[in-house]
Amino acid sequence: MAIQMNNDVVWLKQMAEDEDYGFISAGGLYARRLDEQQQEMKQSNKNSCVLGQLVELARRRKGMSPLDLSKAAQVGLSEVLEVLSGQATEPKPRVLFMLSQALDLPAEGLMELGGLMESRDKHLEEAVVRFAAQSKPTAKLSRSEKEALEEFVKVLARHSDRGRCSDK
Amino acid sequence: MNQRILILEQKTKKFTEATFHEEVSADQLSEAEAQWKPVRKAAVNRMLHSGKSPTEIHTLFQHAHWDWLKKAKALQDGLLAIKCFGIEKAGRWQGLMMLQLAGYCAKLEASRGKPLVYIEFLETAPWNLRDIVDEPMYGLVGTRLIEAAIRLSIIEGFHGRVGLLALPKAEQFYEKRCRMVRIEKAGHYGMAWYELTQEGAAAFLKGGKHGNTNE
Repeated sequence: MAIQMNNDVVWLKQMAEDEDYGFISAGGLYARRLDEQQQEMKQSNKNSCVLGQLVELARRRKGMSPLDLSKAAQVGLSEVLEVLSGQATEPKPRVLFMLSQALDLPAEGLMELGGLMESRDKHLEEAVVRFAAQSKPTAKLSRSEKEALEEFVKVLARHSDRGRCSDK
Repeated sequence: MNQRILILEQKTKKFTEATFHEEVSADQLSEAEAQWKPVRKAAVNRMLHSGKSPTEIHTLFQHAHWDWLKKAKALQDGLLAIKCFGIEKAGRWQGLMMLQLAGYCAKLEASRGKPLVYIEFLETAPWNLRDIVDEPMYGLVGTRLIEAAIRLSIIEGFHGRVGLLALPKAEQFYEKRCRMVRIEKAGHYGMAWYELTQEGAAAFLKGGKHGNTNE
């Protein structure tokens, strides 16, 4: 059935009395999508930041310059710098795998931080937050950073092992 | 299906003919976005140059981020029970509205749980807004779209019940002019839930003094 709109001028005049040309925007779907996108972006930014800090500390632990790391991992320098600066929101799997090999980091954990694998464990999320809070990007690796790094790497390694077992 | 309707021309203060579209396609939504986007952009630039802060601009122009192309995707995806209405005048889209006919129920005590027409999106062209342009072009665009939503609700057997989430600057329109009732606790995402009752819908269609939703 088609809608029959009212074109009665008396009714229209009554409605027009209050016309103020103000905003009338309504609708929840877009707001809902925006909300979801913001949540995803927050999570993605947080993880890329932690990924950057982890790779940075691991690089310094090895005494490598970004260029050395680029050569050792056979990854382009721009991609290495992107990861190190915490801006790699969509890193390539190969980049993370090669970096993990060059820096002795657990590949699966790095993939999860990079958003390439679904996280299986809530403890990892807690460890990510703890690590992000403890590590600071100073020029020299301090004792506390070293401890934070080692503790986080252990968590990642344990987490990766648990993930593998649960697949069987 | 298209039909001739009257809207208000601001300059002459007279009613003028426009076309009401009962079916707006994804391509037409894209067309509207292409028409509206430069006007919105120019308005934001003008405000920035006049010294308004981004926060002020966001407050004034809180729907600047709305993107009908994203909404068009919902139509292209063939989402069930979605309808899109539009008002066209002089080859330009003056207002658009997307409606959901399923999945939403009344929240007001008197009609709680009963189905209603839910307005997913409702927007008027930026050149019809006094906060965007010095001389708005057409009025009654939102009123006519709400009228269409009520009439559809009646056709669907929902007795004129309509619900929506309103952006903060639009609340006055829904409360005062559309006779909708605000439900404090039912809003989401910083938007307030407004509902039009069967009685409110009848009063809206009948016209007369505003403010009484139980006529």
